[in-house]
Amino acid sequence: MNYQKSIAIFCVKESVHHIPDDWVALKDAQAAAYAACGYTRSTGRPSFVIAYGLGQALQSASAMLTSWGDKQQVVALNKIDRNDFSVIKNAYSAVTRGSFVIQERREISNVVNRIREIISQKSPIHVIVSNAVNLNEIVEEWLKADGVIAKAAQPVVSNDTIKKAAGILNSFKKPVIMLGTGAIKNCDPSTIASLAHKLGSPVLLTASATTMPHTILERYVQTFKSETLLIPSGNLVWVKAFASADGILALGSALSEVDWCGLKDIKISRARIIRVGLEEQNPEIGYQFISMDAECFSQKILQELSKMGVSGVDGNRKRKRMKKLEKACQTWKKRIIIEAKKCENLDYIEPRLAAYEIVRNAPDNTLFISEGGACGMWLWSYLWLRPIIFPVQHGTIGVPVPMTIGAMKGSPANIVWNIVGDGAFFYNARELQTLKNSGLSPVFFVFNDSSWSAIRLGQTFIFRGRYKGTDIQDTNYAGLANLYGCEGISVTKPAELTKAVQYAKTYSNKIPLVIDIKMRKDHLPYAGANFVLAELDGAIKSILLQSTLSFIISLIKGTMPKGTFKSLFQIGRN
Amino acid sequence: MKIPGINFHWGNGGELVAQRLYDLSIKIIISLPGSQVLPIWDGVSSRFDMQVVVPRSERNGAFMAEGYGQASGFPAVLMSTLGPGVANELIGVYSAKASETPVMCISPYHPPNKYSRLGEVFQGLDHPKFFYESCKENILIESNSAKELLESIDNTFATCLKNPCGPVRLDISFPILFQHGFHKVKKTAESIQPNVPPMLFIIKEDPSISSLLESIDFLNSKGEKRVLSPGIGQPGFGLPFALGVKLAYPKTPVVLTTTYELLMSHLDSFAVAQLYNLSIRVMGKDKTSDSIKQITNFFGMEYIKEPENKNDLERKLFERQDSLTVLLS
Repeated sequence: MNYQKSIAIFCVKESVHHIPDDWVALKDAQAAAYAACGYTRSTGRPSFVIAYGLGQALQSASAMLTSWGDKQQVVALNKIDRNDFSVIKNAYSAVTRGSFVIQERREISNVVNRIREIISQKSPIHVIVSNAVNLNEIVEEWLKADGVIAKAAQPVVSNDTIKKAAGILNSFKKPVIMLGTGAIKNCDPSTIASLAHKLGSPVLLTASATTMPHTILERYVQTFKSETLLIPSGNLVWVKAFASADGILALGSALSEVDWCGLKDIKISRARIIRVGLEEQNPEIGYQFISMDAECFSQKILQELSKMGVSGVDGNRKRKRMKKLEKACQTWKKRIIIEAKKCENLDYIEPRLAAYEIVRNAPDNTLFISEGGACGMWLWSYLWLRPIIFPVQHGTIGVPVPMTIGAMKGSPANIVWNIVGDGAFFYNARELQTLKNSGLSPVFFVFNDSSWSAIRLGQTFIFRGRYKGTDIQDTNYAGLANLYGCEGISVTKPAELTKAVQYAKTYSNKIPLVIDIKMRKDHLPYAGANFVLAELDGAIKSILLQSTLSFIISLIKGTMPKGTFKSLFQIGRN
Repeated sequence: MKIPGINFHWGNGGELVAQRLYDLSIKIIISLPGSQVLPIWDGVSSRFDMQVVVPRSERNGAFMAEGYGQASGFPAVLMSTLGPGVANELIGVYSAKASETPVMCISPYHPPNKYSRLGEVFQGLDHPKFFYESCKENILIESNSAKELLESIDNTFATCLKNPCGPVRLDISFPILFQHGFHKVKKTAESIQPNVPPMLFIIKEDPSISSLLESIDFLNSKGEKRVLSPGIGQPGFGLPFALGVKLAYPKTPVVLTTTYELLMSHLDSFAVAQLYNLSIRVMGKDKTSDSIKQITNFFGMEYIKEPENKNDLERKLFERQDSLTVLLS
């Protein structure tokens, strides 16, 4: 059994007269659900979000989608009137993987036990609670077993299957191991590292796995330092390794679109895929599925490979490939820094400089949080195996402020730095007050280019620069922070940015700090192509011609700042 | 090329949608940008004189649409990108259903070949399932037939206005929106006229409405006052709702009664008002309240002390007919 101590409970302030010490109260239910998600993402432990009444339950449902997409262990407890059961049940059926109803007190124990049994495999979970049931009793029932959750049952796989799989894996000349969230939760990093070494394969973290809880990430980074190559998602090296592979071992990965899998219009990889996991998804993509826990599978394969006398990457031509990939990683990291430094003497701030300065100056125990959109893509461009909380499967925006509340609850020893966009800043800005009242001091870097940047890129490259509706009025976010009782700084030049980041590094006031970084519109992040292609998959062939024309027009008109494409070319030539 | 009652149209599906909405006399599209809705946006921007209002969250956009529809009796179009964008609309759409308000909720949707693995599809969400009981009806377009698309838009319009009115969702498989083609567009839909506005709209977010406001008698030749509220029945969305009412009738005074706490939760609505030159005045009992003055100064809004007698209040409300007055209790 996995032993999990304690849980976190998030609710809405106005609904609870006396808020227990353990509970965290926010201003609305949607924010509470995001906070629960932030807690779970930072710790890997389950969290509860409580909604009272139909309105709160509906708001919470909107946020549960993000937890559903990334399979986070969040339990939504909705205390509602019997008349509203049906509408809530329907809404939540689309955004949760397990559903229960507690109508009477005597049902509590059974339901809580069932949640414990399934939550590691089926999350998030939804529980409708009738008005006759006391929520505190549900919490107490959970805590009776100290929040223990069950590990999933292990399917039995024949030795023959293992032998065949080992043979196939050994035959690959350019293998990759794709490590997903389903595996990182349960696998020992050293097992994965040994397997990768044996196969002569780099380990590619899926986009979701790249956002694994920091405690798990630390173990992986330590283990892979000397063993073999661990490549996070969001850079060209990952894409090249994936695209050039002739065989993919997908451990605990759902092969989702953000990992370049299952796209209808574009096929990035022609590799043969062996997918290992506990749940078979629709096999449209075409892979061999082995129903097994990734850790068990890896160990059995290692044993089999040893029996076969496979020596691994040492003395093997695969070593050349691994060295090439390692060099490519170093080159990538070096080049993006060079490109950032080119902007140091400009009289305005380029987002790549901002992302670089923020990441390199962030203290070692920093937890980064970001959101879908250009700001998040810039952060991904400059992060390399550092903890990040990011809504991968849905690219949701407006989540950082409430997720910060949850993350800081779960990881109080960590510093939290957010990179947020100006477009979505207002979504949950009201929760800055919650952070301020809690005496917490996260930092928010607002990439303020007065536009919905990511969408504007679509208008540039598909609609010939017809910018309708993607301009936002110039807003002073530092001043806005002051309205919520927080500290705010505005910066417009690189020197000011450097000073502000240094200030953030040593910041210790017990209120949030908002740094408003004013930038120009129209920039092109180095990461995010996977999200763009996934977003438009199904229509890519239709827009190919018009986007080619748009691209040429944007070059002629100079819509993008000078040097954007040159910069991309520099990064791309590996 | 124009034949009476029939148009020939070259363009993509998004432009076709924009054309049809124009034919239906839709004036307002409340929409947050997303890649998949861009073809419709582009269609609206390049040809027609419809206003696209961009809220700062889909949730508040949905309440704006409800306010607009409740005040005018005519639907606004609420348009969000698929997945998380549409999910944020949920409470607002349900509110419109509860208040029997016509709203056309149009959004792009996944192509049919992705339905079986929505959990692995980027921004995947089963829209019809999610909204099953939260709207009046769900309509889904999967084929790339222009005829079917146009009929569905007409159907959505007609259904949301059919008694009892309510929000109707139209999900359009998004590749259709990007596909170009030559279409014959037969104009079959008949539009309707919006309601005649009263002299004053009052939106009650805070139940303890000012007794001074209630005592104002508009029946003596000035016309009626109409009291509206979001159907969800919980406070928190009065300001975006009121903005929607204001968008429907820019020249009719609108008063929202709310609290300082709720106001602080909706500073984004001030930003939207600023962007679209909608004037907001905050009226409170204590003129020296620093925090309220900070907010109104920040957004370039006016703060005035609530008058002590009903004649002065009435005068204040009508001296700026284009204004949305926020009355703090």
